[in-house]
Amino acid sequence: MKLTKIQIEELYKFTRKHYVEYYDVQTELVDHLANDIESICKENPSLSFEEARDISFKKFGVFGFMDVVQSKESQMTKKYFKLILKFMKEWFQLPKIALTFGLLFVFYEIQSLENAYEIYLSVIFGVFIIQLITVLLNRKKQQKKQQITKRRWLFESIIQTQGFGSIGLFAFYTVEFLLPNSSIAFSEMGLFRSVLSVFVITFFIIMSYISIVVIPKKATELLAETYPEFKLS
Amino acid sequence: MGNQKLYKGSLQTIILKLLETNDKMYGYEITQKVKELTKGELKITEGALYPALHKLEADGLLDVEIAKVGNRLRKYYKLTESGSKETANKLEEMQEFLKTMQHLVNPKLSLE
Repeated sequence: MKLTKIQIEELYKFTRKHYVEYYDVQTELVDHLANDIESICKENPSLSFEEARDISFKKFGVFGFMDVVQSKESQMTKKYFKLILKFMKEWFQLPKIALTFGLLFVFYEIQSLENAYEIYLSVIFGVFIIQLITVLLNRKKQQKKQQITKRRWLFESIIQTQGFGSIGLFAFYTVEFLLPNSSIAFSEMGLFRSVLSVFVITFFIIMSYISIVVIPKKATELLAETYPEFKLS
Repeated sequence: MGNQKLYKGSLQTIILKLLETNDKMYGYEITQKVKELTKGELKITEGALYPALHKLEADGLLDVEIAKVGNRLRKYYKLTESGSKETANKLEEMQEFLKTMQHLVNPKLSLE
């Protein structure tokens, strides 16, 4: 017995019902279930499609599709950070390295100002706000698109919204643990910490720029690379 | 059926070896192939197979290909260049492991 198109659609719905939101993950699971259901029905023709489906689903264990979704998420997040690193490298090659040095120099100079600490904090906070606004705007855009296509892609979601969260968190911890936490301490820090803080803030700005501007701009290209099924579906 | 736990640490090596012999395979095919080769002794569970495949893909050892088969899409996995190299390493490690275990569980035999 070969499954019909309607039954395949049913399987997509079934995965959605079991908390698999993303089309790319759903597709792999649907094919797996379909193969298994076909072989179960062959061995036991009296079973209905639903019965065979439930038998097949049980093989995934008590957590159902959860492990599969989690492993896919961590794979894609890893891919995302590799991408960021790739773009970061450009900032240490000509011509962009000039800009990197420019930023480092500006932030080093700022430290000699009286309200250096406040300026640093405002810059970091400002970038956070921009990240937040971008996430909200992109989420709305994605929801609209999803209503039309009925599909969500995991990597797209990481590029447009989830990725910033990880970067924000990374920046938060770096600032929290590496930089002094008061204006006085900031003005009195030694050479090592003052150079470190210059690098931290510069990296944060570059990383944010890459995640907010560079990567989303190349989204279509990157998604087609990640998902060959982008064209097929 | 043997103790499935004993096989657990070897899942990645098994997948890599299968892909080395079969060029490209999809998830369900892998589970069936393992069952067939081991005459049902080893059953790779679905909940372990896909996370392992995703991990190998994340590490750049596997590449994917999508094909339309009948009325559905199928995802095939195949080895990348570094995947092929890693397969050789892992198989070597596995041989070492088997040898060491042999020494441990059957010292007399290994002395010869």
